[in-house]
Amino acid sequence: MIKLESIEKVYRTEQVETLALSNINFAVDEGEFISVMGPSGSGKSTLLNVIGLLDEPSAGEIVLNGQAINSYADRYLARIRNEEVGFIFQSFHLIADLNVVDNVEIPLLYRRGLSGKKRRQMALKALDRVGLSSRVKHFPSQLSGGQQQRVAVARAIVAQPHILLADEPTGNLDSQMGDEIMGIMHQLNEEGTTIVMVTHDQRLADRTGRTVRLFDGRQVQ
Amino acid sequence: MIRHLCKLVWNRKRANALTAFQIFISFLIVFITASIAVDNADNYRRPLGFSYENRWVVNFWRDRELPLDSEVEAPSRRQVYQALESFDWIESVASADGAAIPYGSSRWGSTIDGQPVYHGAVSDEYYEVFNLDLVNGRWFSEEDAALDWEPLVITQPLSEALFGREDPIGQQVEEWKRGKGNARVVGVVSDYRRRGEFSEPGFFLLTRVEDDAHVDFLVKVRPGTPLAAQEQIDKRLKAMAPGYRVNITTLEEDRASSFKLSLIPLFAAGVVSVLVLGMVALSLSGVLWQRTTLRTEEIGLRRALGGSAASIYAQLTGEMLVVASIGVIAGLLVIVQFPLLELLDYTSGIYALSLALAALVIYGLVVVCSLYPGRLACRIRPVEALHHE
Repeated sequence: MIKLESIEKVYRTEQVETLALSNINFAVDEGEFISVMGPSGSGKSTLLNVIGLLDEPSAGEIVLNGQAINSYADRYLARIRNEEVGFIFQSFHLIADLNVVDNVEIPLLYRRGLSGKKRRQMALKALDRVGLSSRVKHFPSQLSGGQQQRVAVARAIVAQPHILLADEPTGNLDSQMGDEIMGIMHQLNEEGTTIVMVTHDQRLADRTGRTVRLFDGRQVQ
Repeated sequence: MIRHLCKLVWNRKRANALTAFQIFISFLIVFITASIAVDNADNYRRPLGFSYENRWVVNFWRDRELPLDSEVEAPSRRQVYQALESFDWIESVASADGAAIPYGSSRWGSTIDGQPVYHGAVSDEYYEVFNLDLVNGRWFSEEDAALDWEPLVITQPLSEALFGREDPIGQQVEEWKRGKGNARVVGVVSDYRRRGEFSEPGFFLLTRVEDDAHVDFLVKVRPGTPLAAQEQIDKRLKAMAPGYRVNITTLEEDRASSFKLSLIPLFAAGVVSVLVLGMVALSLSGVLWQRTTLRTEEIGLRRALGGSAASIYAQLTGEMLVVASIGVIAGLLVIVQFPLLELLDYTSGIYALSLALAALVIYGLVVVCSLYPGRLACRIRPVEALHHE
């Protein structure tokens, strides 16, 4: 499902060169739920961004769902992100001026051939899966943090991606709401979605299938 | 996507209201400018009805500073004709009163059915000097002097206004009460727009000039006749009638002056439009640039969820086009009142074309103003945008 070979990421400025990732090699099978752990600055989020094609590796090869990423052209990457990957962010990133269902519909706007009616059906179905059918017309500011993250999860799964990338999805939530989100993610995983989750919470990592550990940009486990 | 853009604009209506209002005002101003320009262009392409090249106007009048009791012999019209025709570079000579002098300032006329109708008295040679386009009937002739009714030559627009599709020849014009009283149409010319190419199609009525009427003289000179030849006319006429004054102008000069006068409203409206559009352009660019900056996180999110740089650019431009459409629609609602309130008297074709032009200018401006902020938005890397504070 996901295969990383000799991935390197170097950030260069005129004076400084920072090695963010070095020689990362691992694979995630279809239906796996793995966690990525490491101290701050170890490259966890950078790795997630590289897997999610938000950032281009300086070297190495990525294979997503059997498709080798051999071009970093903007349109191509945008299409792959839209069709193959769903993102859940620590800070939700909901658009404040759109209500819940409109926020969830956003990924579908970039997919051709979907009617407005179909998009609405898919968004409502995704909201139903995260238990927010009764909040579709609410605006983000009218929701609790946990509810906002559930909206973000609905948005991540609405386009039915094969891979879900979660960057500290419970980082801004209390433990009860965090557990709710973890419960939804486990449920999605049981239904076949491959999940890569960045966390610094060992308790959450223990609930995933296995853990990749990073230190100073290097893979240590 | 259009519905999504409309929702974004509506949900940010407070932020968009000022921009929509600016576009509303500028749309009205651009529409007025466009309608003046389209009306002028529409008039310009119509037949003028007469030739102005190589035509001179000779004003010849008794010096008003002379004492009234001084003995100055007034030359007859025939004498002036003979004096002018003696120059071999003058092809033909005619005479007419003020209103029949092209580009003149005289407003002598009356109204028929509430429409202004201008009147000019002309000599029989006028037709040849100005190369008029006779479309029906005949021109004046010497035999008309013996008629007990007044022969009229009218323009085609006046003919259509008075008689519709009926043949106007021989028809009486009841509204014409001057001269012999009983007036009938003997001929129709295509048009006679004495104020030049930018003037409206003319309601013009020509009669034969009376023998004792004060007239100006109109001469058709050979092509290539130098302006210095005007001095010869001046000397000849002054020698013939001491105490008389002579002023000679070319119709080409008069036409150039008339052009300037006609284009002043268009120039003024154009200047106002350019200033307003300039301000709106700066405002739009500022608003878009600010939005790009304030919405960096949203742009990054959309990129992460599958939006390409091009689609982000299209979205930002699309939002501004929706805002512009609100201003344009509000402007349309106001503009449709103009004909009802008789504020602008244009044909529906001119209205439609002016509206289309004004809308094109506004939408074009929005697209152009979106270029730079749009490029900035496209350059935003999703990774950086998602961590933007």
